[in-house]
Amino acid sequence: MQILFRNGLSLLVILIGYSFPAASKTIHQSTLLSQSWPINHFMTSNEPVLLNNASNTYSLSFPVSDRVMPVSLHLNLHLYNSNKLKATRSQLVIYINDFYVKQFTLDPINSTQKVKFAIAPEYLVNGYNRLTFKVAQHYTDEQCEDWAAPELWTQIDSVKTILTLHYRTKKVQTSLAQLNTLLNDRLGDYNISFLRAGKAITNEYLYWGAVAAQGVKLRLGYVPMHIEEQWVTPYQWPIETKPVNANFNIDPEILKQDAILLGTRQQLKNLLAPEILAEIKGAYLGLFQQDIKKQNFILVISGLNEQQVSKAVKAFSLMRNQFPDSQQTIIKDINFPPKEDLVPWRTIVSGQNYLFSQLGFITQVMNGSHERVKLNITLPADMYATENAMVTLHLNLAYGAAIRKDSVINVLLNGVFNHAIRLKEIDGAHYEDYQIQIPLRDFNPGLNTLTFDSVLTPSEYGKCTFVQRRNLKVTLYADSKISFPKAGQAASLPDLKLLRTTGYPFVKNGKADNTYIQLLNHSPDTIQTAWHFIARLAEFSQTPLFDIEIGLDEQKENRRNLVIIGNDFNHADMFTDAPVSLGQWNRFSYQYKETYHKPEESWFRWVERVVFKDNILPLESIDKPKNIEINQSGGLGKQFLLMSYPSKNKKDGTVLALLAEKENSLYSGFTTLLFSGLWDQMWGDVFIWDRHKKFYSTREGDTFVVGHDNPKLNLIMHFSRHPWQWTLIIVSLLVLASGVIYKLLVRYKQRVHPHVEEDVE
Amino acid sequence: MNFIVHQGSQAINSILLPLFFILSGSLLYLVNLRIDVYGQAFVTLALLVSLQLLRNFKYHAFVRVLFIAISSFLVLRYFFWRINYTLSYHDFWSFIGTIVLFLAELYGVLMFFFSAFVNIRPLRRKSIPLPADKSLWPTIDIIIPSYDEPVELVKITLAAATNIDYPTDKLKIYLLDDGGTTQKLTTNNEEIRQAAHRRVNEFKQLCAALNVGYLSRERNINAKAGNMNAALKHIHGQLILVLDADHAPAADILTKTVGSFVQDDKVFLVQTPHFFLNPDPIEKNLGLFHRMPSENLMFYRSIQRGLDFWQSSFFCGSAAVLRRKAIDEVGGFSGVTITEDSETALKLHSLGWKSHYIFYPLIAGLQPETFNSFMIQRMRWAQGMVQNFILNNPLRMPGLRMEQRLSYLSNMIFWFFPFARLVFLTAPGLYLCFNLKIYNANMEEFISYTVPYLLALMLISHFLFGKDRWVFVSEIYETMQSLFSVRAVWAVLKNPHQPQFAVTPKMETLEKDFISPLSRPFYGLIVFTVVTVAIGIWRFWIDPDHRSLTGITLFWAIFNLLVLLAALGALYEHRQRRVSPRIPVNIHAFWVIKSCNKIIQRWPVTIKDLSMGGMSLISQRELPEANQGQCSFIEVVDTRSQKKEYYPVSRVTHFRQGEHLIHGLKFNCSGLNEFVKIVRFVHGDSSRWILIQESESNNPGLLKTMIIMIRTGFYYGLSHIKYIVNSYFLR
Repeated sequence: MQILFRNGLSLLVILIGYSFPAASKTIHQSTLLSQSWPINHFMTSNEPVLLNNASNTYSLSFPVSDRVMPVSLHLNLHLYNSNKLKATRSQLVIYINDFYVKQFTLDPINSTQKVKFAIAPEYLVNGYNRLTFKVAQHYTDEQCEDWAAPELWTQIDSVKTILTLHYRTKKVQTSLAQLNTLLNDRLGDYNISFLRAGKAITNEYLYWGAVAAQGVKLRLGYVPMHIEEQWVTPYQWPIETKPVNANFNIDPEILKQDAILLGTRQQLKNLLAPEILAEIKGAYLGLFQQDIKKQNFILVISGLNEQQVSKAVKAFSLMRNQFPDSQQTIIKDINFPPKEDLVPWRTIVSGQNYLFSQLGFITQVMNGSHERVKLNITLPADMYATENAMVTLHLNLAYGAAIRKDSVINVLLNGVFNHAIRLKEIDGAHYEDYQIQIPLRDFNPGLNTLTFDSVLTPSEYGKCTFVQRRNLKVTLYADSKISFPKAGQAASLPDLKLLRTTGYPFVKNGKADNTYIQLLNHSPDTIQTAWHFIARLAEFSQTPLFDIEIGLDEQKENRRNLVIIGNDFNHADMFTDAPVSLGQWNRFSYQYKETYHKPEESWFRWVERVVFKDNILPLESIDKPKNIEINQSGGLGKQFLLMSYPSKNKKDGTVLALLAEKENSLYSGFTTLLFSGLWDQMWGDVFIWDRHKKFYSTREGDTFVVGHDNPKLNLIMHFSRHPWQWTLIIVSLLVLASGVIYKLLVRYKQRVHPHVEEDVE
Repeated sequence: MNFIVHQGSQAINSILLPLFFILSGSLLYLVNLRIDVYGQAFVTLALLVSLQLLRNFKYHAFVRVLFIAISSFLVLRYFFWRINYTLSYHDFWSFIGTIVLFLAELYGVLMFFFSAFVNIRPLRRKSIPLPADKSLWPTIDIIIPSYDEPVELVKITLAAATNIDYPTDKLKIYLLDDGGTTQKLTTNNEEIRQAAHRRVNEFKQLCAALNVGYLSRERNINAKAGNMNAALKHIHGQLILVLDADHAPAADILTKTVGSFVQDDKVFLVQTPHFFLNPDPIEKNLGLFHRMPSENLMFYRSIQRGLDFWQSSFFCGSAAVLRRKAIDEVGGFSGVTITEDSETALKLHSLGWKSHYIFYPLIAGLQPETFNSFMIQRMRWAQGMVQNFILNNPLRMPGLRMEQRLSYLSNMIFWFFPFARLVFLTAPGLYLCFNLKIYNANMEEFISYTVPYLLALMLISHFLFGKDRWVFVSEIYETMQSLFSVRAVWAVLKNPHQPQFAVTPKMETLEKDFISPLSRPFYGLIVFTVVTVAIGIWRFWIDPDHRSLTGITLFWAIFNLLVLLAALGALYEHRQRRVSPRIPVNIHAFWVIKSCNKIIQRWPVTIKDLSMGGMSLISQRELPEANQGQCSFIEVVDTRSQKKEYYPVSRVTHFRQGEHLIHGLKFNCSGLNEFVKIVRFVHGDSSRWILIQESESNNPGLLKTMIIMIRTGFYYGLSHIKYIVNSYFLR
């Protein structure tokens, strides 16, 4: 009975807490804030939402930060619909998290509509919310109409349709278990400050910042990050404004956002309250509300010495789940596994087979036509295979009955059609180990997406017929497999395209042990850029790069790859071998003319064309740009430069330079590069851009091949690219071997047939 | 100074072998690199162009090696690609087809390398002259084994043997008559017994007249080998010249061969080529006799010379001189297999004995006249060599050097060709008719790997054997043999001891044109290939997606059809009445009318052909007829003795051809001595055989020979079909 009573009481408390969340927490009632986004901010591509056919649905997800309490959500909807719709039967319905919110008639007369309405906060949740647009569209009052008639359409303008969230901020919860949630406030781009206690910038500090930036970025995922590096001096609180139990002696005015305070206990002693200082007994992590802006936090990463700070910052970047549930923790030690056979999470190794489920795929059902499921595969940057090396998909799939026999599943690789699976069994089928082969060379280094696009057609179809579509189903099972052929490791460098897709060669297999980041100056702008660049590299590996080195010194002996970052490039000698030379005089290439090569038709192409009369397109001319270099006094100005070139000193080494003029903010340029789609435009070895997203990409310098693990594949790659050399070496060896055989035969003749006289042929 | 040079050359010699292995290893490594198809196309094009250029310098030994090396590289590239990238599993039957085709190709590639090895350095050995001191010349027994050959055929050989230039006290001739054994003479079959008695009597009289020893034995055991072994008990010469009953020797056969034995005690064999006066049935039925090199020329001019370089030229059963001591060492001629000749040679080579091969035709023989007889002969060879492969495998035989093992292996493995040939004939049909996917390649790969491979094979074949064999001739001969040899070889594989020696029928007379009874299986194959081609054309038309692959296979099927058409043409046996084959010659002579041994008239003429029956000659003017009491003769200067010889003849026919008069003469043979003299005139001069061989060895070029062969195949193949239509449908 006692037990029953006690349990019932607990249940009551929980229910009350659930029903009245505001009552269960102490909420700091801050001022009402708001933030607006066009809905394309939450879409994967910048395009309008097109809803066609008699019925259609489009959903998108948008986040609501854990650190806010939504007050209201307004949707300012901007839509166009077909002027052939029948208003009596056509409508748009809007749902939030599957709850009905609003409906409109799709009026053919007023075919452009601007509607603004509020959505009650009760339907919103912290985290991701689903906004759904659903249309019913008809062009006739009769039941008998073409379901897919082209005049059945409505378009929602994703640029002009604005979502505005009104909210109040909440105090942050100071549990280290909440770090994952805190480090993405879901209020748009995430801003964080790295606070330095002393004026001096040491290599240790640069390293701590680099690792901490990775820790933040790995938690943020695709959410844009902005770093601010700040030097803070001890602040003397005015008595009248000093908060009770202030934890930090830091001027609240300079704390605009969440912050990470880095330094040894000694370095931080004037910035922290004695109670916190007393807790720093080893490698230390502590999470605190800011003294004034309680909705922001300060994460203290410290230790009794530099090694302990390093340990603490590594622990921070590693501890990316719900443990520990405490405000502070001391890290005793970190036990790394042995280094052998370690590859980044979900990275493909050649010659191996993978279940789709190992690559994050779950069994999915494609309903109706044009539903897509995707499988993401990350290939190493330097995976090189012969042209016949095939990736084989062993698909386990099922599809419904009574599907018309022209139904297919299109397989797209990185958005490009590659293969089709015909669904020809009228009674449906279940395929085990349906094999598809795709040349490994069709895959890109880095992330690849295999898309399975169902194109399903009902077997019964007609204007006045009930068309059954619920049978249009294809299931792709997660126990399908993908097998990769054996491949070697070779890549042609420098290549900014490889950098943009994989981070290669500066990060490889989750390691950056050959990379040194050299800062040209120690301005916060340069430091921010360097840390952010390192964080970007870590993103490729999905794991922190502890083995990276960063500093103001010259390149290290044991590191063959160098990244030069800065906006003070008086070190002209660094760029003598670079495709673009900067300094007192600036050398740059301009488009001039092209070298013309007559296209030569290969003989098998000729045979195909002449003998088999295949419809072969005419050969395009082979033109190579011939640029011209101009030395001049004018320089980068407000532009930014990223260039890569072979290292002069290090064998197989690559140099990457990320530069801007002194008076220009390199960091703003770098974030423009990262977040405006410019990053995906990089190729060649020179890339120039500005804040207005104008860019220019080219290749100017030489390339070289790296990859020592498989000499055979290196040779294959080399000779495939240089058939003249291949021919020359074969012919030379054949002539040489023939000479030797001839001599051996002469010797044999002298030995076995010493006195034989021969007839002349 | 010389010492330094010698030291230097020794140093170079010592690094040659390691260098060879390093270079070969490097090339093998590079062969295994899967360069992109464009790179492959690039290198193959360069190498094919090189081959084409090198053909102009073929007589330099280094160029020959280089040519073989380049071709080998192309073949290896193809094979590397074939193994690694074209064998795939689609379904059960396709897989079976894939494996069978691959094995056939594997055989082809294996034979390519064996052939390249054997032919890399042919030894053009000159004959070694005999010492001036005749007392040093060894004693010789000439043995002529016979089984059931006609007496008139053996008579020529015996007469020719008596004409051989060699001291008579050192030369004995024996007819080894297996047709006169006690077993034959006492057989229960009355008819056979009587015929045997008649034959023996005739032979005995003939031998007595020619001063030739007649030997026979109790029973016909171990065929030819047993016959010769039985004779060994009765003969005691230091050397033995073996002649087939239809192989008439030239007068200089011993003076050109025995020198080797005098010079080197370790020589056990001097083999000479077999030269034939008549066409084989394929040459005859396709009208190619004297137009193209004889089929056996490739073996006797090229391969045996290549084998000789590797100390592996072997005994071919006739036209060879052997050392008695060596034969005794292995207990006589080996008779385990039905090719006793190569078996004996193999054993003697393994004991360290040496062989010489002299490419100088010193006998003139006869080939089988019908395709039936031809197949009896070829099946015996195939079975014998496969028996040897199984029972005396050179890889297992102790005492042989590696090069000898490879050489013998090359000769034995060649005879497995029927299996491969049948696969190549049917493979296109498997794809076009049954849609079996037996060759997994796309058009670009096919052009980059397969086409250069095929071109390389064609070019090297033409380079090495261009004078000896025209292109496509091997295909026709092998295709024709394969349908029957495949069963013969299979029988040996099942039971290696089963085959029996079958004597090749000779001197058959064909009274009228007829279709060879062995044609039937070819009809089936032709129908299948025609259907394949028809389906191929249809598929080429309706399926543009697979047009490249269909086109390639269709081309292959059409090639097979052409070969089969040529085979069909060769199976249309043409009438042949002439027993004594005509030998084309160009001898300046005189038409002489004599009376009482006194020359009355003498007119210059030119003899254009010659046979044991007579000759044809041309003259500028009319030749006078011999009157009563006069005799007509042909006066010829003997090329060896430089003496004038007179042969009694009578004119049978004459007619005008342009400005010339053509006369047909027949010999008036009054007795055995006259016959022996005529044999010496017709068969005694070996230089004529060389001239004939040289005239046949025309090499009109790869393209022209291709066109000739295609045209010939078409013409005679359609003649065969026309004959059938006329005989069976329009009669």
